[in-house]
Amino acid sequence: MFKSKAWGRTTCLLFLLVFLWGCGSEDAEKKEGISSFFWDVHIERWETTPLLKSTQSSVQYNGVVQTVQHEQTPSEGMVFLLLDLVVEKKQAGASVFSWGDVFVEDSEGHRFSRHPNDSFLDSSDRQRMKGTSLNFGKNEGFVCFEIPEGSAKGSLRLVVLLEQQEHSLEIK
Amino acid sequence: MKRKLWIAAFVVLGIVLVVVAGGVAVRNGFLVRASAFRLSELEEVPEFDILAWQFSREKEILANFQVDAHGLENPFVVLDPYEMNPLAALLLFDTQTPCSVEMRVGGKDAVSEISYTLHQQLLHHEVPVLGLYPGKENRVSLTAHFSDGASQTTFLSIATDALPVDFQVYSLVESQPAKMEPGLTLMIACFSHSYTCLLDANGDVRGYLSRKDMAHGTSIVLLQNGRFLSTGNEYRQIPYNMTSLWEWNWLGKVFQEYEVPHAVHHDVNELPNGDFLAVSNHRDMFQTGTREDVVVVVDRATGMVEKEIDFRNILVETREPYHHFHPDVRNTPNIDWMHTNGAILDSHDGTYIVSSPTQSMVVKVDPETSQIVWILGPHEGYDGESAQLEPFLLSPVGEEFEWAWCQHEPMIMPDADGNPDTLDLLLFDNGQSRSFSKDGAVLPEHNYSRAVVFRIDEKNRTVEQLWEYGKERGSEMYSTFLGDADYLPGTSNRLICFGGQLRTEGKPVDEIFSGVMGTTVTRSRVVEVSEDGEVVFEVAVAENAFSSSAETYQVERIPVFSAGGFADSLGEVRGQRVGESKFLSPCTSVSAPLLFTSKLGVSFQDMHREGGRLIVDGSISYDGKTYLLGRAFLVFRSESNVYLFEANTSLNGRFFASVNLQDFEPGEYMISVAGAVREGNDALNGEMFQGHVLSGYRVCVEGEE
Repeated sequence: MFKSKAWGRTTCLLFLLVFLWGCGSEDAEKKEGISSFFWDVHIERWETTPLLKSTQSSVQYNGVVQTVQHEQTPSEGMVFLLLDLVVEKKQAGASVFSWGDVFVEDSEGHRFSRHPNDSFLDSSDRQRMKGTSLNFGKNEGFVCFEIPEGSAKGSLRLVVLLEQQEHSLEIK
Repeated sequence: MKRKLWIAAFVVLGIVLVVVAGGVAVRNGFLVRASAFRLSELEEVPEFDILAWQFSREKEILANFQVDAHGLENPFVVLDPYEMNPLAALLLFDTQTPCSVEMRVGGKDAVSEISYTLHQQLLHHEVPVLGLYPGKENRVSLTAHFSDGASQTTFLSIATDALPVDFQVYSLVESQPAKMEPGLTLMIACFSHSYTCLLDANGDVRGYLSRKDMAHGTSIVLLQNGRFLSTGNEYRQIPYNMTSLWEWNWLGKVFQEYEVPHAVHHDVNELPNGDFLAVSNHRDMFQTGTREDVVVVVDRATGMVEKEIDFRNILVETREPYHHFHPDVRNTPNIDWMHTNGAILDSHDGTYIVSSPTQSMVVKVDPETSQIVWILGPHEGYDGESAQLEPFLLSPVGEEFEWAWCQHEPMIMPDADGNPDTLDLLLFDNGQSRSFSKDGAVLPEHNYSRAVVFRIDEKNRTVEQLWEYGKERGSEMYSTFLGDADYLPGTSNRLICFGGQLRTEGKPVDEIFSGVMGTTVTRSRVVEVSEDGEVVFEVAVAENAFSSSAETYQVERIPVFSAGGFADSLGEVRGQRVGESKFLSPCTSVSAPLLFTSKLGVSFQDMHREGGRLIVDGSISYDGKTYLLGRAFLVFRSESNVYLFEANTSLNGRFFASVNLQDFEPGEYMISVAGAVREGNDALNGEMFQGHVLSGYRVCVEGEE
């Protein structure tokens, strides 16, 4: 009886571990993205948060690392949606990836543009994607959108206008 | 009973065997072995060479440009091509017939419009766009001027990113553009969290260095060839001793890296022959016991240090006047007795004029003989051994005279009296304490800083005060540390940087140490003043929610555009590295540890390899606490080899290393850090805590093919 209980517990634990491991890998392997003639766009990760705690560490005159805490909050009734993106130009040419052509769309069709200055991301342990147009290369980093709390509860899509054609990708 | 004895014997034997096996395992390094499993858990040290990266970026730009036809009406626009100045862009286009190009960036008003012309008549054009505003659609016009007199203009809109949220806050106090020296104001930051930037006459940011790891604490100078010179990004000693100089333009292209093993801090100047005069250290500063007391001349062509003037052989290093610069650290291996912050050439006689703020001394020396010509400074504190310097002291004359204290940035003024025996010298007088004794110290709330011009009569060995600005502003402008004063030749104005204004609840304080630790606010103020004292430009620099420091180390008025800095086409010139790389020598005095102990903490500000060189900038702590004093060792272990290096260590756990991987046997090495921290402020006494931890990195050394 004792043995069978132990086996049962072990089996359950193993099952749970495999299940949890499986969940993690599914996210990690998720490579679905947008693809146009010039550009590939992938969402590596996403998260929503009502608050971003930033830590600015700086080396002082005498070597001491000074740490300044700063809290970045969205406007009333909004949350931050953070997308960890990879934007890669796969074909040389004049095509430009412009952030003015990138939106997050909620389930009701409302569109939200990238935060006008999300440079606070850099001091919150997230490498920020630069905020100006991309010309070439592989560009990786976080971008921030402010979206209503209600929108964050429903489905969200990333919408990108590339080469005069609209592409979209499910975020959640 | 017998059975129990047998059991006890077996247990004892077992323990003995375990201990012996453990001992053998430790002695053989089994517990710190670079096993395949352990190596696989570590991250490969990233490779980054800014010169190689920039050159490949140029080729990438050209590859994208060449796909389509780009004419004047549809230039290929690359914002921040080298990821150094986000407020600059490069425009590429071709024209059917040769033309010169006039570039204009629209301003808020007429005085803030930026324009310049690339005069060469070309078919292929690479036009730098400098002076964009942050966070807006910039109006830019390009006008092609053809040889037949015809012209054609195209209008563009270039959108820029907003300034980072941790950018210092600039507030314009006064601006009279008609009376100002033309150009942009280069505000040079000092600490690693501040940005160096360009301001226009409205106090608006029109360019900045997004790489905050370069040009710390040092001047940035415009060279005769139109490029700029500053220190690079590799530390040798906290906080501003940098082992390289970068020659670059405001697009961010690095043309030349000069490796200076002595490390450069504070000022650098270009000599008439193109060589660099820099304040530096002895090349073996970690063995000599002192720092920041050597002036070097760097050969421009080879990058090698061709001359060293060691002030320990000229002045008296035991003269220890009252100063606030450093904490009370005993038996430190690097005494900063001189803190040399400036060295300039007096081209009339080939001598150097060198500033030591901690000694409140400006000294003129003959670089060939190391003979002192004169010493400008208060006459206090020349007792004991330093009494030998008294004969060189200049005597003050005139009624309106005050000495400079903890001064910065000597600059020779144009000859105003036609007397070959006199020299007019402009200084920034911080005025710190205005005394070497604590009893005589002027309190910060009653103190002031100023720019001052002294006339030195070298024949009669006298000094007279000719001009000053700042005293009348009182403690409002008092700047305990940092600062600059420049003579502006076009207007005879003076550009003054009150660079390190320490403030607690808005009141001036002298707490440099807490200021630099961030517990006291550091602000700064830049003032352009006419010869008769009229303020024609003033900007205040304040802290923000992300940082308590808004210092400005130095300030320069520079031309908007220097054609020589943009003479080369993309893909033509790969940046060169010259000079001498300084590597750590393998440590033979101690052995590599054979156990990992976990209380030591290590973090890295930088860990990368540049070809065959590994560059490390890290910090150690112990049990989560930072200690003032410590030592760090880098251990490299492969399956068959172990290399140990003692890093150059600084206060508060910081350490730096430059390791020549080409000296290693081929193999895959795990990198660990062994360290020791000491309680208290005495480098030789106090309880010591040691540890050894994996760095999280591995490095692969290939064999020669």
